[in-house]
Amino acid sequence: MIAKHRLFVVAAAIAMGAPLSRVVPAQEAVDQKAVAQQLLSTEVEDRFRALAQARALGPSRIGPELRDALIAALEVENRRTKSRHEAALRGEYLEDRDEFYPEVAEVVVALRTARAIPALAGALGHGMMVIRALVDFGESAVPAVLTVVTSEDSLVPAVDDGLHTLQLVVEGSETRPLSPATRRVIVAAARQRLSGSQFDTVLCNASDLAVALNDRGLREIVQRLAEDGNEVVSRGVTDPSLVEHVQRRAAAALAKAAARR
Amino acid sequence: MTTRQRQLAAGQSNYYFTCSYTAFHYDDYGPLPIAVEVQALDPDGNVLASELRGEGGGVLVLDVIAAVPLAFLSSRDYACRAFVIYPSSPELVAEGKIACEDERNDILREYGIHSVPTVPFCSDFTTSGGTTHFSWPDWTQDAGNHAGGWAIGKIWGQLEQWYSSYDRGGFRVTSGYRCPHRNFELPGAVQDSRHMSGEAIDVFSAEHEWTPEEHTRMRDAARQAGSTWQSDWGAYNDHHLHAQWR
Repeated sequence: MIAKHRLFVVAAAIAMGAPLSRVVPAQEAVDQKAVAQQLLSTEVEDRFRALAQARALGPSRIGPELRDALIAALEVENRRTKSRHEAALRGEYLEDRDEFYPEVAEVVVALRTARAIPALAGALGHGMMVIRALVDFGESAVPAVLTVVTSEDSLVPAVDDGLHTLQLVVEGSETRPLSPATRRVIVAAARQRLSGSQFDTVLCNASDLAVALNDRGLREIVQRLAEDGNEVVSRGVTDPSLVEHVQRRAAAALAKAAARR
Repeated sequence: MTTRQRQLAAGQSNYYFTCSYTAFHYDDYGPLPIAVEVQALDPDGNVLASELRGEGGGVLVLDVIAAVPLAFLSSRDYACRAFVIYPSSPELVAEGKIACEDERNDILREYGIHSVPTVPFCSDFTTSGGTTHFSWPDWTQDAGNHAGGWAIGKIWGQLEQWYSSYDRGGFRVTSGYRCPHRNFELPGAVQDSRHMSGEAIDVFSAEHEWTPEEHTRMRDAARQAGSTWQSDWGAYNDHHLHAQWR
Protein backbone atom coordinates (compact mmCIF):
# COMPACT_ATOMS: atom_id res chain seq x y z
CA MET A 1 0.00 0.00 0.00
CA ILE A 2 2.78 2.36 0.88
CA ALA A 3 4.63 1.55 -2.32
CA LYS A 4 1.50 2.45 -4.25
CA HIS A 5 1.32 5.76 -2.45
CA ARG A 6 4.94 6.46 -3.26
CA LEU A 7 4.20 5.96 -6.93
CA PHE A 8 1.47 8.54 -6.61
CA VAL A 9 3.87 10.89 -4.88
CA VAL A 10 6.42 10.60 -7.65
CA ALA A 11 3.78 11.00 -10.33
CA ALA A 12 2.32 14.03 -8.60
CA ALA A 13 5.71 15.62 -8.13
CA ILE A 14 6.60 15.14 -11.77
CA ALA A 15 3.25 16.61 -12.74
CA MET A 16 4.12 19.66 -10.65
CA GLY A 17 7.41 20.06 -12.42
CA ALA A 18 9.15 19.85 -9.10
CA PRO A 19 12.65 18.52 -8.78
CA LEU A 20 12.76 15.25 -6.93
CA SER A 21 16.26 15.72 -5.60
CA ARG A 22 16.33 16.96 -2.05
CA VAL A 23 18.73 19.62 -0.96
CA VAL A 24 19.04 19.22 2.75
CA PRO A 25 21.95 20.35 4.86
CA ALA A 26 24.29 17.56 5.80
CA GLN A 27 23.57 16.43 9.31
CA GLU A 28 26.56 16.89 11.50
CA ALA A 29 27.22 13.77 13.52
CA VAL A 30 25.50 14.29 16.85
CA ASP A 31 26.65 12.52 19.98
CA GLN A 32 23.21 11.74 21.34
CA LYS A 33 24.61 10.49 24.62
CA ALA A 34 26.31 13.84 25.21
CA VAL A 35 23.16 15.71 24.23
CA ALA A 36 21.17 13.54 26.63
CA GLN A 37 23.53 14.45 29.47
CA GLN A 38 23.43 18.14 28.60
CA LEU A 39 19.64 18.14 28.71
CA LEU A 40 19.77 17.47 32.42
CA SER A 41 22.51 20.03 33.10
CA THR A 42 21.96 22.64 35.77
CA GLU A 43 23.16 25.30 33.30
CA VAL A 44 20.21 26.65 31.36
CA GLU A 45 22.34 27.52 28.31
CA ASP A 46 23.48 23.88 28.10
CA ARG A 47 19.91 22.68 28.28
CA PHE A 48 18.74 25.04 25.54
CA ARG A 49 21.70 24.03 23.35
CA ALA A 50 20.95 20.35 23.85
CA LEU A 51 17.28 20.89 23.13
CA ALA A 52 18.12 22.71 19.89
CA GLN A 53 20.26 19.76 18.84
CA ALA A 54 17.49 17.31 19.65
CA ARG A 55 15.01 19.42 17.72
CA ALA A 56 17.32 19.62 14.72
CA LEU A 57 17.64 15.84 14.68
CA GLY A 58 13.88 15.44 14.37
CA PRO A 59 11.74 12.78 16.09
CA SER A 60 12.61 9.98 13.68
CA ARG A 61 16.36 10.23 14.30
CA ILE A 62 16.23 10.51 18.07
CA GLY A 63 17.48 7.33 19.72
CA PRO A 64 16.18 5.70 22.91
CA GLU A 65 18.73 7.31 25.23
CA LEU A 66 18.06 10.84 24.04
CA ARG A 67 14.33 10.15 23.97
CA ASP A 68 14.38 9.06 27.60
CA ALA A 69 16.48 12.08 28.54
CA LEU A 70 13.96 14.41 26.90
CA ILE A 71 11.16 12.79 28.85
CA ALA A 72 13.20 13.03 32.05
CA ALA A 73 13.87 16.72 31.34
CA LEU A 74 10.13 17.31 31.04
CA GLU A 75 9.57 15.56 34.34
CA VAL A 76 12.18 17.80 35.96
CA GLU A 77 10.31 20.84 34.63
CA ASN A 78 7.02 19.46 35.96
CA ARG A 79 8.48 19.20 39.45
CA ARG A 80 10.11 22.61 39.15
CA THR A 81 6.77 24.15 38.22
CA LYS A 82 5.08 22.77 41.28
CA SER A 83 7.82 23.95 43.63
CA ARG A 84 7.86 27.43 42.04
CA HIS A 85 4.08 27.58 42.40
CA GLU A 86 4.34 26.77 46.10
CA ALA A 87 7.14 29.32 46.56
CA ALA A 88 5.06 31.95 44.77
CA LEU A 89 2.12 31.25 47.06
CA ARG A 90 4.43 31.80 50.04
CA GLY A 91 5.23 35.21 48.55
CA GLU A 92 8.88 34.43 47.83
CA TYR A 93 10.69 36.50 45.20
CA LEU A 94 11.17 34.50 41.99
CA GLU A 95 13.48 35.32 39.11
CA ASP A 96 11.47 35.25 35.89
CA ARG A 97 11.55 31.73 34.59
CA ASP A 98 13.28 30.80 31.35
CA GLU A 99 11.05 29.29 28.68
CA PHE A 100 12.66 25.86 28.62
CA TYR A 101 9.46 24.23 29.86
CA PRO A 102 7.25 24.84 26.80
CA GLU A 103 10.18 24.15 24.50
CA VAL A 104 10.99 20.75 25.97
CA ALA A 105 7.30 19.88 26.14
CA GLU A 106 6.98 20.62 22.43
CA VAL A 107 9.87 18.32 21.54
CA VAL A 108 8.50 15.53 23.75
CA VAL A 109 5.05 15.91 22.17
CA ALA A 110 6.61 15.49 18.72
CA LEU A 111 8.19 12.19 19.78
CA ARG A 112 4.71 10.66 19.86
CA THR A 113 5.84 7.91 22.18
CA ALA A 114 3.59 6.32 24.76
CA ARG A 115 6.54 6.28 27.16
CA ALA A 116 6.02 10.03 27.49
CA ILE A 117 2.41 9.75 28.68
CA PRO A 118 3.13 10.12 32.44
CA ALA A 119 5.43 13.12 31.84
CA LEU A 120 2.88 14.74 29.55
CA ALA A 121 0.15 14.16 32.11
CA GLY A 122 2.42 15.86 34.62
CA ALA A 123 2.57 18.87 32.31
CA LEU A 124 -1.22 19.26 32.19
CA GLY A 125 -2.41 22.72 33.12
CA HIS A 126 -0.58 24.62 30.41
CA GLY A 127 -2.88 24.39 27.43
CA MET A 128 -3.82 22.58 24.29
CA MET A 129 -0.41 21.39 23.11
CA VAL A 130 -0.17 18.81 25.88
CA ILE A 131 -3.90 18.07 25.84
CA ARG A 132 -3.89 17.26 22.11
CA ALA A 133 -0.85 15.03 22.50
CA LEU A 134 -2.57 13.02 25.23
CA VAL A 135 -5.84 12.81 23.32
CA ASP A 136 -3.94 11.37 20.36
CA PHE A 137 -2.90 8.44 22.56
CA GLY A 138 -6.58 7.71 23.20
CA GLU A 139 -7.54 5.22 25.86
CA SER A 140 -3.93 4.42 26.78
CA ALA A 141 -3.49 7.94 28.17
CA VAL A 142 -6.58 7.79 30.35
CA PRO A 143 -5.06 6.21 33.51
CA ALA A 144 -2.33 8.86 33.76
CA VAL A 145 -4.80 11.67 33.17
CA LEU A 146 -7.19 10.22 35.74
CA THR A 147 -4.39 10.22 38.31
CA VAL A 148 -4.09 13.99 37.83
CA VAL A 149 -7.82 14.63 37.74
CA THR A 150 -8.68 12.68 40.87
CA SER A 151 -5.73 13.62 43.08
CA GLU A 152 -6.42 16.19 45.75
CA ASP A 153 -2.77 17.24 45.45
CA SER A 154 -3.13 18.36 41.83
CA LEU A 155 -3.14 22.06 41.04
CA VAL A 156 -6.46 23.39 39.77
CA PRO A 157 -5.23 24.18 36.21
CA ALA A 158 -3.95 20.61 35.89
CA VAL A 159 -7.35 19.26 36.96
CA ASP A 160 -9.05 21.61 34.48
CA ASP A 161 -6.90 20.47 31.58
CA GLY A 162 -7.18 16.84 32.65
CA LEU A 163 -10.97 17.06 32.61
CA HIS A 164 -10.85 18.64 29.16
CA THR A 165 -8.51 15.91 27.94
CA LEU A 166 -10.96 13.26 29.11
CA GLN A 167 -13.81 15.15 27.44
CA LEU A 168 -12.00 15.08 24.10
CA VAL A 169 -11.13 11.39 24.50
CA VAL A 170 -14.80 10.63 25.22
CA GLU A 171 -15.98 12.75 22.29
CA GLY A 172 -13.54 10.91 20.05
CA SER A 173 -14.81 7.52 21.16
CA GLU A 174 -17.21 7.33 18.22
CA THR A 175 -14.21 6.55 16.05
CA ARG A 176 -11.90 5.19 18.76
CA PRO A 177 -14.19 3.30 21.14
CA LEU A 178 -13.45 3.22 24.85
CA SER A 179 -13.78 0.05 26.87
CA PRO A 180 -16.75 -0.04 29.29
CA ALA A 181 -14.31 -0.23 32.23
CA THR A 182 -12.49 2.93 31.15
CA ARG A 183 -15.76 4.73 30.60
CA ARG A 184 -16.86 3.77 34.10
CA VAL A 185 -13.75 5.22 35.74
CA ILE A 186 -14.13 8.43 33.74
CA VAL A 187 -17.75 8.69 34.91
CA ALA A 188 -16.55 8.25 38.49
CA ALA A 189 -13.93 10.99 38.04
CA ALA A 190 -16.51 13.39 36.63
CA ARG A 191 -18.83 12.63 39.55
CA GLN A 192 -15.98 13.26 42.02
CA ARG A 193 -15.29 16.67 40.47
CA LEU A 194 -18.97 17.60 40.52
CA SER A 195 -19.24 16.76 44.23
CA GLY A 196 -18.03 18.37 47.41
CA SER A 197 -16.22 21.69 47.36
CA GLN A 198 -14.67 22.53 43.97
CA PHE A 199 -13.10 25.52 42.29
CA ASP A 200 -15.41 27.21 39.77
CA THR A 201 -13.36 26.28 36.68
CA VAL A 202 -13.30 22.66 37.83
CA LEU A 203 -17.09 22.61 38.06
CA CYS A 204 -17.28 24.06 34.54
CA ASN A 205 -14.89 21.53 33.02
CA ALA A 206 -16.45 18.64 34.94
CA SER A 207 -19.85 19.71 33.57
CA ASP A 208 -18.49 19.63 30.02
CA LEU A 209 -17.07 16.15 30.60
CA ALA A 210 -20.26 14.94 32.29
CA VAL A 211 -22.40 15.97 29.34
CA ALA A 212 -19.97 14.40 26.85
CA LEU A 213 -20.24 11.10 28.74
CA ASN A 214 -24.00 11.05 28.13
CA ASP A 215 -24.55 9.48 31.53
CA ARG A 216 -28.02 10.07 32.89
CA GLY A 217 -27.02 10.60 36.51
CA LEU A 218 -24.27 13.04 35.62
CA ARG A 219 -26.47 14.94 33.22
CA GLU A 220 -29.01 15.43 35.99
CA ILE A 221 -26.32 16.96 38.19
CA VAL A 222 -25.34 19.36 35.40
CA GLN A 223 -29.00 20.18 34.85
CA ARG A 224 -29.35 21.11 38.51
CA LEU A 225 -26.24 23.29 38.37
CA ALA A 226 -27.61 25.09 35.32
CA GLU A 227 -31.01 25.69 36.88
CA ASP A 228 -30.31 26.30 40.55
CA GLY A 229 -27.61 28.66 41.77
CA ASN A 230 -27.81 27.10 45.23
CA GLU A 231 -26.44 23.87 43.75
CA VAL A 232 -23.35 25.82 42.72
CA VAL A 233 -23.08 27.56 46.08
CA SER A 234 -23.30 24.22 47.86
CA ARG A 235 -20.16 23.19 45.96
CA GLY A 236 -18.15 26.05 47.41
CA VAL A 237 -18.56 28.77 44.77
CA THR A 238 -20.09 31.76 46.52
CA ASP A 239 -19.23 34.86 44.43
CA PRO A 240 -22.51 35.64 42.61
CA SER A 241 -20.80 36.46 39.33
CA LEU A 242 -18.94 33.15 39.43
CA VAL A 243 -22.10 31.27 40.34
CA GLU A 244 -23.75 32.74 37.26
CA HIS A 245 -20.70 31.88 35.16
CA VAL A 246 -20.79 28.23 36.24
CA GLN A 247 -24.49 28.10 35.52
CA ARG A 248 -24.00 29.55 32.04
CA ARG A 249 -21.24 27.03 31.28
CA ALA A 250 -23.42 24.15 32.48
CA ALA A 251 -26.36 25.36 30.39
CA ALA A 252 -24.11 25.80 27.35
CA ALA A 253 -22.77 22.24 27.71
CA LEU A 254 -26.31 20.87 27.84
CA ALA A 255 -27.38 22.96 24.85
CA LYS A 256 -24.38 21.81 22.84
CA ALA A 257 -25.19 18.19 23.56
CA ALA A 258 -28.84 18.70 22.70
CA ALA A 259 -27.88 20.27 19.38
CA ARG A 260 -25.73 17.25 18.55
CA ARG A 261 -28.55 14.78 19.10
CA MET B 1 -10.03 14.34 6.77
CA THR B 2 -9.22 16.71 9.58
CA THR B 3 -6.27 18.98 9.23
CA ARG B 4 -5.14 19.97 12.62
CA GLN B 5 -2.22 22.20 11.92
CA ARG B 6 -0.63 23.58 8.80
CA GLN B 7 2.16 26.03 9.07
CA LEU B 8 4.74 27.26 6.61
CA ALA B 9 7.72 29.07 8.06
CA ALA B 10 10.92 30.57 6.82
CA GLY B 11 13.96 30.47 8.98
CA GLN B 12 17.61 29.91 9.35
CA SER B 13 19.64 27.03 10.59
CA ASN B 14 23.39 27.49 10.82
CA TYR B 15 24.32 28.75 7.34
CA TYR B 16 21.18 27.62 5.61
CA PHE B 17 18.09 29.51 4.60
CA THR B 18 15.22 27.14 5.33
CA CYS B 19 11.60 26.70 4.46
CA SER B 20 9.75 24.36 6.76
CA TYR B 21 6.24 23.05 6.73
CA THR B 22 4.57 21.30 9.62
CA ALA B 23 1.32 19.45 9.27
CA PHE B 24 -0.78 16.82 10.90
CA HIS B 25 -3.43 15.29 8.67
CA TYR B 26 -5.92 12.92 10.18
CA ASP B 27 -7.85 10.32 8.33
CA ASP B 28 -11.42 10.75 9.48
CA TYR B 29 -13.15 11.40 6.20
CA GLY B 30 -12.49 12.27 2.60
CA PRO B 31 -9.45 11.95 0.38
CA LEU B 32 -6.20 11.63 2.20
CA PRO B 33 -3.10 13.53 1.33
CA ILE B 34 -0.23 11.22 0.62
CA ALA B 35 2.68 13.62 0.97
CA VAL B 36 3.72 17.21 1.27
CA GLU B 37 6.39 19.07 -0.62
CA VAL B 38 8.03 22.24 0.57
CA GLN B 39 10.13 24.33 -1.77
CA ALA B 40 12.60 27.21 -1.48
CA LEU B 41 12.57 29.54 -4.46
CA ASP B 42 14.98 32.18 -5.74
CA PRO B 43 13.80 35.72 -6.63
CA ASP B 44 12.91 34.54 -10.15
CA GLY B 45 10.72 31.76 -8.85
CA ASN B 46 13.15 28.96 -9.63
CA VAL B 47 13.00 26.04 -7.22
CA LEU B 48 16.37 25.88 -5.51
CA ALA B 49 15.61 23.20 -2.98
CA SER B 50 12.71 20.99 -2.16
CA GLU B 51 11.79 18.21 0.14
CA LEU B 52 9.05 15.71 -0.49
CA ARG B 53 7.76 13.56 2.34
CA GLY B 54 4.82 11.28 2.76
CA GLU B 55 3.78 8.28 4.73
CA GLY B 56 0.76 7.11 2.81
CA GLY B 57 -2.87 7.12 3.92
CA GLY B 58 -3.64 9.32 6.91
CA VAL B 59 -0.53 11.34 6.46
CA LEU B 60 1.35 12.59 9.42
CA VAL B 61 4.04 14.98 8.32
CA LEU B 62 6.40 16.73 10.64
CA ASP B 63 8.81 19.53 9.87
CA VAL B 64 9.47 19.05 6.21
CA ILE B 65 12.42 21.29 5.46
CA ALA B 66 13.92 22.61 2.26
CA ALA B 67 17.21 24.39 2.80
CA VAL B 68 19.40 26.63 0.69
CA PRO B 69 23.03 26.87 1.77
CA LEU B 70 23.36 30.64 1.74
CA ALA B 71 23.97 33.16 4.48
CA PHE B 72 20.64 34.50 5.67
CA LEU B 73 21.32 38.17 5.21
CA SER B 74 21.97 37.75 1.53
CA SER B 75 19.06 35.46 0.94
CA ARG B 76 16.03 37.43 2.01
CA ASP B 77 14.75 37.70 -1.54
CA TYR B 78 13.91 34.05 -1.37
CA ALA B 79 10.47 32.58 -0.95
CA CYS B 80 8.91 29.41 0.37
CA ARG B 81 5.89 27.43 -0.70
CA ALA B 82 4.25 24.20 0.32
CA PHE B 83 2.07 21.69 -1.49
CA VAL B 84 -0.10 19.00 -0.02
CA ILE B 85 -0.25 16.15 -2.48
CA TYR B 86 -3.40 14.13 -2.91
CA PRO B 87 -3.59 10.99 -5.06
CA SER B 88 -5.22 13.00 -7.83
CA SER B 89 -3.27 16.25 -7.71
CA PRO B 90 -1.06 18.53 -5.65
CA GLU B 91 -2.63 21.50 -3.90
CA LEU B 92 -0.69 24.68 -3.15
CA VAL B 93 -1.44 25.38 0.50
CA ALA B 94 0.94 28.14 1.52
CA GLU B 95 3.53 30.49 0.12
CA GLY B 96 5.44 33.49 1.31
CA LYS B 97 8.20 35.84 0.30
CA ILE B 98 10.79 37.07 2.76
CA ALA B 99 11.96 40.44 1.51
CA CYS B 100 9.81 43.57 1.26
CA GLU B 101 10.19 46.81 -0.65
CA ASP B 102 10.03 49.08 2.40
CA GLU B 103 11.05 49.59 6.03
CA ARG B 104 9.81 46.13 6.96
CA ASN B 105 13.21 44.95 5.74
CA ASP B 106 14.80 46.73 8.70
CA ILE B 107 12.73 44.64 11.08
CA LEU B 108 13.35 41.47 9.09
CA ARG B 109 17.08 42.13 9.32
CA GLU B 110 16.78 41.95 13.11
CA TYR B 111 15.62 38.34 12.82
CA GLY B 112 18.90 37.60 11.04
CA ILE B 113 21.07 39.58 13.45
CA HIS B 114 19.57 37.76 16.43
CA SER B 115 19.49 34.35 14.72
CA VAL B 116 15.79 33.91 15.34
CA PRO B 117 14.92 30.43 14.07
CA THR B 118 11.52 31.39 12.68
CA VAL B 119 11.45 34.36 10.33
CA PRO B 120 8.20 36.04 9.32
CA PHE B 121 7.18 36.57 5.75
CA CYS B 122 6.89 40.11 4.41
CA SER B 123 3.14 39.74 4.17
CA ASP B 124 2.86 38.94 7.89
CA PHE B 125 3.44 42.62 8.81
CA THR B 126 0.66 45.20 8.98
CA THR B 127 0.34 48.77 10.25
CA SER B 128 -3.04 48.36 11.86
CA GLY B 129 -5.06 45.71 13.57
CA GLY B 130 -6.58 44.91 16.89
CA THR B 131 -10.07 43.96 17.90
CA THR B 132 -12.88 45.33 19.99
CA HIS B 133 -11.14 44.36 23.21
CA PHE B 134 -7.46 44.31 22.20
CA SER B 135 -6.19 47.57 20.79
CA TRP B 136 -3.37 47.97 18.29
CA PRO B 137 -1.46 50.41 20.58
CA ASP B 138 -1.58 47.90 23.43
CA TRP B 139 -0.49 45.12 21.11
CA THR B 140 2.44 47.13 19.73
CA GLN B 141 3.70 48.76 22.94
CA ASP B 142 6.77 46.45 22.80
CA ALA B 143 7.14 46.49 19.01
CA GLY B 144 10.10 48.87 18.90
CA ASN B 145 9.99 52.27 17.24
CA HIS B 146 10.22 51.24 13.62
CA ALA B 147 9.27 53.61 10.83
CA GLY B 148 5.87 52.83 9.45
CA GLY B 149 4.62 51.25 12.67
CA TRP B 150 4.81 47.73 11.26
CA ALA B 151 4.04 44.76 13.50
CA ILE B 152 2.63 41.25 13.31
CA GLY B 153 -0.66 40.09 14.80
CA LYS B 154 -1.85 36.57 14.05
CA ILE B 155 -4.17 35.77 16.92
CA TRP B 156 -6.96 38.37 16.83
CA GLY B 157 -9.75 35.79 16.53
CA GLN B 158 -8.31 33.74 19.37
CA LEU B 159 -7.97 36.79 21.61
CA GLU B 160 -11.62 37.73 21.13
CA GLN B 161 -12.62 34.15 21.83
CA TRP B 162 -10.51 34.30 24.98
CA TYR B 163 -12.29 37.47 26.07
CA SER B 164 -15.67 35.80 25.53
CA SER B 165 -14.70 32.63 27.37
CA TYR B 166 -13.27 34.56 30.30
CA ASP B 167 -16.54 36.44 30.57
CA ARG B 168 -15.30 38.60 33.46
CA GLY B 169 -14.32 41.86 31.86
CA GLY B 170 -11.29 43.43 30.27
CA PHE B 171 -7.63 42.48 29.94
CA ARG B 172 -4.62 44.66 30.73
CA VAL B 173 -2.07 43.88 28.03
CA THR B 174 1.59 44.36 28.91
CA SER B 175 3.20 42.87 25.81
CA GLY B 176 2.07 41.68 22.39
CA TYR B 177 4.24 41.74 19.29
CA ARG B 178 7.95 42.32 19.92
CA CYS B 179 10.58 43.07 17.32
CA PRO B 180 13.71 40.98 17.94
CA HIS B 181 15.73 43.94 19.29
CA ARG B 182 13.06 44.60 21.90
CA ASN B 183 12.65 40.92 22.70
CA PHE B 184 16.33 40.45 23.42
CA GLU B 185 16.45 43.51 25.66
CA LEU B 186 14.26 41.62 28.11
CA PRO B 187 15.76 39.35 30.74
CA GLY B 188 15.25 35.66 30.02
CA ALA B 189 14.22 36.26 26.42
CA VAL B 190 14.21 33.12 24.33
CA GLN B 191 15.46 32.61 20.81
CA ASP B 192 12.13 31.64 19.32
CA SER B 193 9.72 33.63 21.48
CA ARG B 194 6.23 33.60 19.99
CA HIS B 195 6.04 37.31 20.74
CA MET B 196 8.27 37.82 17.68
CA SER B 197 5.87 35.97 15.43
CA GLY B 198 2.77 37.77 16.71
CA GLU B 199 1.39 34.67 18.39
CA ALA B 200 1.81 35.48 22.09
CA ILE B 201 0.55 37.99 24.60
CA ASP B 202 1.15 38.89 28.26
CA VAL B 203 -1.85 40.01 30.29
CA PHE B 204 -3.44 40.66 33.64
CA SER B 205 -7.11 41.08 34.45
CA ALA B 206 -8.07 44.73 34.18
CA GLU B 207 -11.01 44.45 36.53
CA HIS B 208 -10.27 41.87 39.20
CA GLU B 209 -7.65 41.59 41.88
CA TRP B 210 -4.78 39.58 40.41
CA THR B 211 -4.69 36.42 42.51
CA PRO B 212 -3.76 32.80 41.74
CA GLU B 213 -7.48 32.13 41.46
CA GLU B 214 -8.05 34.87 38.87
CA HIS B 215 -4.96 33.70 36.99
CA THR B 216 -6.49 30.22 36.90
CA ARG B 217 -9.80 31.53 35.53
CA MET B 218 -8.11 33.51 32.82
CA ARG B 219 -5.86 30.58 31.98
CA ASP B 220 -8.78 28.19 31.68
CA ALA B 221 -10.46 30.64 29.32
CA ALA B 222 -7.27 30.86 27.22
CA ARG B 223 -7.26 27.10 26.87
CA GLN B 224 -10.89 27.22 25.76
CA ALA B 225 -9.75 29.64 23.07
CA GLY B 226 -7.23 27.05 21.89
CA SER B 227 -4.08 28.46 23.45
CA THR B 228 -1.28 25.93 23.04
CA TRP B 229 0.67 27.04 26.11
CA GLN B 230 0.02 29.29 29.10
CA SER B 231 2.39 30.21 31.89
CA ASP B 232 1.72 29.20 35.46
CA TRP B 233 1.44 31.44 38.52
CA GLY B 234 5.04 30.77 39.53
CA ALA B 235 6.57 31.44 36.12
CA TYR B 236 7.17 35.18 36.52
CA ASN B 237 7.77 37.32 39.54
CA ASP B 238 4.90 39.67 38.61
CA HIS B 239 2.72 36.58 37.88
CA HIS B 240 1.54 37.90 34.51
CA LEU B 241 -0.18 35.38 32.29
CA HIS B 242 1.66 34.58 29.09
CA ALA B 243 -0.45 32.79 26.48
CA GLN B 244 0.60 31.66 23.05
CA TRP B 245 -0.99 30.01 20.10
CA ARG B 246 1.80 27.96 18.51
